[in-house]
Amino acid sequence: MHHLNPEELKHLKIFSTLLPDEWSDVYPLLNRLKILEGEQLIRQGTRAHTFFVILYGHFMIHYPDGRALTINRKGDIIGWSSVISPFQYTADVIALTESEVLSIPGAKFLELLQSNADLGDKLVKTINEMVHHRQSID
Amino acid sequence: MEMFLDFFSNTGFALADYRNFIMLGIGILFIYLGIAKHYEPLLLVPIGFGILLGNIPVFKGLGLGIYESNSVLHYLYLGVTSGVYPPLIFMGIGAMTDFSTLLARPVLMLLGAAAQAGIFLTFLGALFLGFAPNEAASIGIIGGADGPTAIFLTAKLAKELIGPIAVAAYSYMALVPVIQPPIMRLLTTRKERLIRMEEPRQVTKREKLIFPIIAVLLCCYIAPAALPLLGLLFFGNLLKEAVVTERLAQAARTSIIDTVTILLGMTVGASTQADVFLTGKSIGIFVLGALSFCVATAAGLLFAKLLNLFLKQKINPLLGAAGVSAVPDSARVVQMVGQAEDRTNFLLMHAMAPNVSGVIGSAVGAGILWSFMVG
Amino acid sequence: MTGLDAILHHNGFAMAAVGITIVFTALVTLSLVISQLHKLLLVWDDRRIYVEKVRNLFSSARPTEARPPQVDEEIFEIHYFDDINESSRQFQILIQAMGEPFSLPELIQIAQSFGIEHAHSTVSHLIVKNFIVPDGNGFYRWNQDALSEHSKRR
Repeated sequence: MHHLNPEELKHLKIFSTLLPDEWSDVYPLLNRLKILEGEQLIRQGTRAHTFFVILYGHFMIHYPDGRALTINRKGDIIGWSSVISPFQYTADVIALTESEVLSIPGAKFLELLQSNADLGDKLVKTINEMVHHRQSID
Repeated sequence: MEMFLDFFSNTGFALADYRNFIMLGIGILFIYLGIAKHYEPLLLVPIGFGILLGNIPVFKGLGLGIYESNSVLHYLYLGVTSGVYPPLIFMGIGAMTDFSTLLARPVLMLLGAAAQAGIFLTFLGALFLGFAPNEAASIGIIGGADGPTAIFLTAKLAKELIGPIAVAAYSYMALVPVIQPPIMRLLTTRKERLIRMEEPRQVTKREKLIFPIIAVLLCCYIAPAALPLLGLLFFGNLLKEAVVTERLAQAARTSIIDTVTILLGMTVGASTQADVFLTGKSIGIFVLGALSFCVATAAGLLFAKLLNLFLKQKINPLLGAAGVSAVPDSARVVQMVGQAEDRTNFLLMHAMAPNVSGVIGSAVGAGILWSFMVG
Repeated sequence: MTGLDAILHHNGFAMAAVGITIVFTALVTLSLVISQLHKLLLVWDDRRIYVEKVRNLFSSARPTEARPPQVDEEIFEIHYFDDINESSRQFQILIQAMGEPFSLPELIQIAQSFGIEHAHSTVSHLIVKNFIVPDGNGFYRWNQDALSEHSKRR
């Protein structure tokens, strides 16, 4: 379906705490996307429709006031606003290099989190930790 | 009544003959082709309007005509006859040319060299037809498919032929998409046209910076007479590649080249007066000009096929046609003919390499012919 | 005079042959030189290594012990195509013009407007090599020390 190696992906930080049956709920939602250098992944202010996890590449997250930060670790997340109200992207994200990401449709991901309390708790907690860590080094 | 007759005898209506009207028709045709058909409009419109200006009969002695030494048109024309305008155009061309495809695969430069055989074979053809050597050299350079080079050399060697040679050169450059494809199909097989070129390597900024310096020194040491053209071509290119001089490069490829193109086109057109243009020599020039384009295309194609006998990584021989330095039209023709066989075969960027090397080759050829004629 | 007589009278064949030979010579020489240019530049970049090797050949002292290979601490092995020395020179000029601290997206935009190719990946390369560093407030600074660190490592 999407030629993803589950063993490789289970070790990504966002999925590292999942149990096997929880993982089998998440796995079907994943897609691999190739991104070109300079391509805009996310536009600030638009509806947050997709959640991304970096597999490879370097991205720049920038805000209208000119502030920016870059992320390039495997497993880093982009587009967490797709699972957090008001479901609007808060920044622009551009690929600085040719990259690969996992994409997860935001609506389906949110539905999964809301339908499975334990899974939802784990993922939202991990997302919050990762975002908080990013904001603290910003 | 007498005053009225006197006045009438000084108007263009009284001074015109049928040849002026023929030239006016040609001028209007050029303007039509440029505006309505988009055939090289930046050249054909100024030349066409210049033809109109040059063929309005005027009373000699008032300093109106282009050949009268105290006229406005004559002063503007000085840039052509002194050979100043073409190098300035070359500076603008250098400031907008990217030599990376050439640097990535230098062997393609030889296709540009081969196409310049059209210059020298046409030179022989012109001698055969009875033209004087300096005239034959000016006619031969049409085969370089480079307007500024043709005007530069003709201004040095055969000023009286600037009009017909410039008109022939620019007309055939506009007709490259018509002239080249039949020759390309005739001289290549389908299998050859399907050859795919390998991806060129990435060229660093440093190489692009050093190239114009090395190229100008090497080419001008070998052919010093090419200095005015190649010197400014590579100067413009250096301005482009050095980030710090972007303002100057911008000026060279916009305001300077546009201003010079306007003045050159219009004054060359104005110089094509009926008594100079409508002669047997002009017919010979037009015939030889068409032949030179055909010979140059064929020479580039055949040389590419010859190179393939020795190369492991074959070159698509269609690229040889891009050695005719009508930039970027002949490269686009190569792309078009290649894609007619295989829609996924993108040859345009590869064809730019022989295309730009043809510009260098034609400038060197012009310098060599100039040195032969004055030596 | 017309025909072959005209050509022979004016030494046409000789001029054509010499002319095409000179055009070919010029372009063949130029293509040979530029085909070796990128290799010469690589040798120039690694000149210290070659100088060191030559010194070691003539030196009677004990050869220095080999340094352990540096472990790359980058997260990915992203393949960059630009020459970091060239890029650092170009971007240092741009950053000096912009002033510090500067906005990273603005730097990329300005680099693109100057015709710098692959501005995004070049900026990525400079960040990874610590030529461009964050100032902690969402803006960035040029790291002067990175150049000397980079030279030492080479």
